[in-house]
Amino acid sequence: MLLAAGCGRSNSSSSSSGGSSSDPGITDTTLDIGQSDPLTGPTAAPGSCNLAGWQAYVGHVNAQGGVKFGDGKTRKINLKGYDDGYDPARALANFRQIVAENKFAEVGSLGTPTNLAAMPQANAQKIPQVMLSSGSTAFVNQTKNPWTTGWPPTYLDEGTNFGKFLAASGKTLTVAVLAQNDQLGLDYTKGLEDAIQGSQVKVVAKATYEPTDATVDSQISNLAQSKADIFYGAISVLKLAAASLTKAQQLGWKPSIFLASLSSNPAQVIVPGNGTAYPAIWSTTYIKDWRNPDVAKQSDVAQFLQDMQTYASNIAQKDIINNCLWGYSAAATFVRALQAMKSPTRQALMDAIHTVKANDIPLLLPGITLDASSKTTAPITTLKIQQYINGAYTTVDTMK
Amino acid sequence: MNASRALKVALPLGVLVVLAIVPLSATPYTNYQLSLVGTFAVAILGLNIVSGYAGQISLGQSAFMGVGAYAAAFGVAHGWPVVLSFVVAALLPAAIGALVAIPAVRLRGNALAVVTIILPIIAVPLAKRYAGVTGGSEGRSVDWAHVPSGTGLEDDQWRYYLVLVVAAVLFLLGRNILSGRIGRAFAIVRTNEAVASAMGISTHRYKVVAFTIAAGYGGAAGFLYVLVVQFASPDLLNFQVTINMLAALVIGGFANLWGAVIAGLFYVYVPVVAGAVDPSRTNIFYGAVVLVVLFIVPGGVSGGIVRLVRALLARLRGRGPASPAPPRPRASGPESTPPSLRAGAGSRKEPQ
Repeated sequence: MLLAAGCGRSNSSSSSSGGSSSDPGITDTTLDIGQSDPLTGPTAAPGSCNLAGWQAYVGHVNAQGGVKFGDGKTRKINLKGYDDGYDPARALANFRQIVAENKFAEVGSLGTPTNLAAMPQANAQKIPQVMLSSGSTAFVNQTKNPWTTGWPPTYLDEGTNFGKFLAASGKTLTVAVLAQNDQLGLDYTKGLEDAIQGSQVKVVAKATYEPTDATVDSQISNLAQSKADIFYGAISVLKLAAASLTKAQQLGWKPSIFLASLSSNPAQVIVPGNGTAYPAIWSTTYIKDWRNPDVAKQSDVAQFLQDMQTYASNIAQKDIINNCLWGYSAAATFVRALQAMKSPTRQALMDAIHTVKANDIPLLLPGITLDASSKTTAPITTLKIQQYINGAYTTVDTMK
Repeated sequence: MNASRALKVALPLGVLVVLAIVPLSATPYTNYQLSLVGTFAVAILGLNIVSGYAGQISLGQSAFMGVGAYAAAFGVAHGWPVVLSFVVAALLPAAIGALVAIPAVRLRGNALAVVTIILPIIAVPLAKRYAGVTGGSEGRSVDWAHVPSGTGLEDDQWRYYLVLVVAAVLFLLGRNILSGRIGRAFAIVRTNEAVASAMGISTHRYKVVAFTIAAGYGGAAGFLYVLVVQFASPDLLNFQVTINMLAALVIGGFANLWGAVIAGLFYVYVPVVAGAVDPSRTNIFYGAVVLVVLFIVPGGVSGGIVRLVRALLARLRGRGPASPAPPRPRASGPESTPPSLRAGAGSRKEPQ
């Protein structure tokens, strides 16, 4: 009896997208999408900011009447945020909820383990899981996971770009590495080491930490003994990045600093860590520095700040970190894809994403081109090196 | 007592029938959530056995669950038979639990709790380091437990039924253990170790037994977790998971089988409800719910329900209106602990 009844579930929402005229979550006037972020817990700041950036851009687009899709219809976007607390099981639950609530796609979710948990389901059910905010190389393999796409440059790209910057200086340099004990740390370290191979630059000390650690004092003490010229911080936890700066100067070790883009925010890392004690602080970037007053006047940055205030007022301007800008810019990329979407199906969205090529996405630095056609790399692969000088970042081409 | 006895038989049967029918019309998302409830109910039952029944606070349950999950995921990835995966997933954590417990239970109270914290704290970096077994920090994703063709069910329904059957068997097993000699010994160890020793009960041995059973349940829950979530990662081992399970158990009610079920519901559904209220304030909401429940029913929800049912039954039997609740309202579900030992089983052992 039970088995027979099982056959009868007709309202199942797990049906995959076929060649139907229109997939769930899209009408002639609306598009429903979901996003899962860590909105509580230790990773809440980046997660909340990511969602806020998306909400700001989507709010802006909706206020202008919506997006004109590639099929000629104009639709408004309904974006709903879900909290996963950086817990993979909850992220997967959120993914299922997104599907059960008939959303068209999961977009822009932040986090590596969380998105990894949902990825097999997304690909099995053929639900787009796109523009993910993670630099993990796991999300840029379109052959293996055709329904998943990343957005930012990978951590490997970041490490490579900085390694090339060091190698190009021609100087003899020693580097001490503090890396998060996971794939993120491994990618950053590998990128750096590959890029400096055969140059005058050598890694002389390495240490790792856990994201849940309360302190990195002992690691910094060990690294300080190397007296390296460069401290390479492949760190994603803001307070630990700040704490490493504080600790190193306490010990009298004052190397030049490299901060991962995830933890390069002045207000949360450099200021509390008293970064002025160090000869130089570098990071990589592909996004405009809105803190620089000249940059803040540029039209896209001014628009971003205004949209944040209007549509994402839960994040005060002083709390804006790069994740807000990345979210905003990723949302703009997503909208470009929608504009190229020829029919209201999930497959059409994936096809459209791979057509996006642009050098005018809001907030991206001049010279950074976005190209989502590659099936083996992230849409953005190039980065600029930036140096923190007098309270703001300035992009630099060579080491002074 | 006839009405009460009938209720005790009818209630679980009724619940079981409802549980069997629900997934047929529910969405895959609901089935996933309910499967997770069953999974965490088993893990929390293990925690309840060691902390609620035997009175030893353990903060290592997430580590046992994680080891079970990794064992299951490893087994699946290497094509082991499902039954073998399950046995390894349950017995490996049980063995680890016994090994840790043998020296650890010489300590008491807070000292023991602190020793058990070490398990999740060392398990997380170990899981990341031995990527060959665990998949490293990115975890191990598996694709298995698909519904056999011809049943007419879908994957989510099939997995739900597997969880339901395994959980029901484990709960029945737990009930039998706790209502027998071991359960009585746990109760005496919990309430008064000196009396236990005087009665010839080795407190040391029974504490080790409690830890071992709890770890085995944790491991079995880890297997179910991989069955449902199809993914095992270091985040499951995290200490935070244990704390959340313990908080849920406090809500559900210590030393009560139903307490673990309610705790499972709480563990899975409160964050969802909180997210619907305000996704960026789920922790505050969670904390507020814990406080409110403890304020209203200090012995946990299961204790509150038992009290309510007894009051209703008393009224039905015409003992007169407004008769005071029975002198020992904090009852345990299975008639395990002698009445004299029931007092204060719940409210006394809140963590921290």
